Amino acid sequence: MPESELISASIKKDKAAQQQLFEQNYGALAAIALRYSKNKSQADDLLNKGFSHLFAHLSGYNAQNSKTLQEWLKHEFIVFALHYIKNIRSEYYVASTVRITEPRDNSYDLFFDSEIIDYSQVDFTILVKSLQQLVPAQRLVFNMHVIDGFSLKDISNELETSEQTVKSNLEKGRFNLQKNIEKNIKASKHEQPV
Amino acid sequence: MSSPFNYELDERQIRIMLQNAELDYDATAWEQFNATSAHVQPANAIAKTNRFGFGISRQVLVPAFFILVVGGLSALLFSFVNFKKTDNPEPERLLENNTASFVVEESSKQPVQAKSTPVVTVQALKKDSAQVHVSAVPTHTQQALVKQAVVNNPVPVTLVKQELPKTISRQEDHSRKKRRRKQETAEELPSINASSSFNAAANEPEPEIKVN
Repeated sequence: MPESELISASIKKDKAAQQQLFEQNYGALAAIALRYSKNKSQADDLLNKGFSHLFAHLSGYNAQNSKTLQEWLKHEFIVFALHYIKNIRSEYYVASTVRITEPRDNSYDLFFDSEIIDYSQVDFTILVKSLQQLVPAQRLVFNMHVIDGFSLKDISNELETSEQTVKSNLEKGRFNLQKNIEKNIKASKHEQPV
Repeated sequence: MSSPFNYELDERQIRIMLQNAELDYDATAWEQFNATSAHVQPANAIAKTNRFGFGISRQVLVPAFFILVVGGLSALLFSFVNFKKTDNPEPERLLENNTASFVVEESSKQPVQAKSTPVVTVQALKKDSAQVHVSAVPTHTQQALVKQAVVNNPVPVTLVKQELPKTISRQEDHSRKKRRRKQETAEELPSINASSSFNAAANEPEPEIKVN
């Protein structure tokens, strides 16, 4: 089925057309949902609600626009994910303001701590897991600015915060992401059976 | 104090890895989506109806509620206050008619002429008029009787009094009292025997006037 017919049929709530559109874009949107949410179950919920939102607002897609259908779907899904995460107020505001500090470990393992980590060879699962461990505000800003290419001004408009807050969250997100990657790499190496 | 932290992540590498990442399609994903969308849809419908009914925000509701409470209390207080003037006229005294001394004659067409001298005639009698000209009625009881007669009989009425005592108007009475007071408080001046002094002056010799 051509793209234009697929879109018009999906707008008319044709299940077959919607299923075809779902299957075509599942992989990309599921990956986005996974890195914007804190775990797999939240990612599944975000993905399902995001697809419902996309099918409901599919009439807003203009084929004559410079964006392709997949690019438009990705952009709409990212904006939806942003509002979805932000609207979980119990997580977004509390976790953004409270800094959780781990108890300091005074023991020093020479072989464990002196490992040199090559950050250019980070695995996809470790990277996603490290991203998911960030607090929601830092995760959102890092995803939007570093991966999806939004400007800081656009992010501040979307999140309804100042640009300075966005910069601050971005710096904290970079610092915490590197720490999380380091921790997860070390943990994965030590978990492997000898 | 320099920070020991060195940022070593290659963001360009991360962007390439994550931006174009795609997960494998799961066969159960569509069924799961259908189940959740079917479950969510009635909830959305309910939410729409609720939105229609309770679409007023809290910022409007709370001040409106307080305005209603304050307005209701003030209205309750105003209901206890009477702003109308309570200047009631003096209650009329009901006096018994002394029919022996007064004879009321109704004369619809031909008014009856007065018979004897101390006659009180009410010429202009009106039901609602507050000023009733009764000049020669001496006492309050008689005034009330006249008024009552006027109220009972709106037609012109001639009141005839046969044996009235000597009537004195208030003004005349007042002036008489004043005169009495003046008479009582008059000073007694010493009298001079003028006739003797005049005679003494007449016996004196006249002075001589010399003309040059």
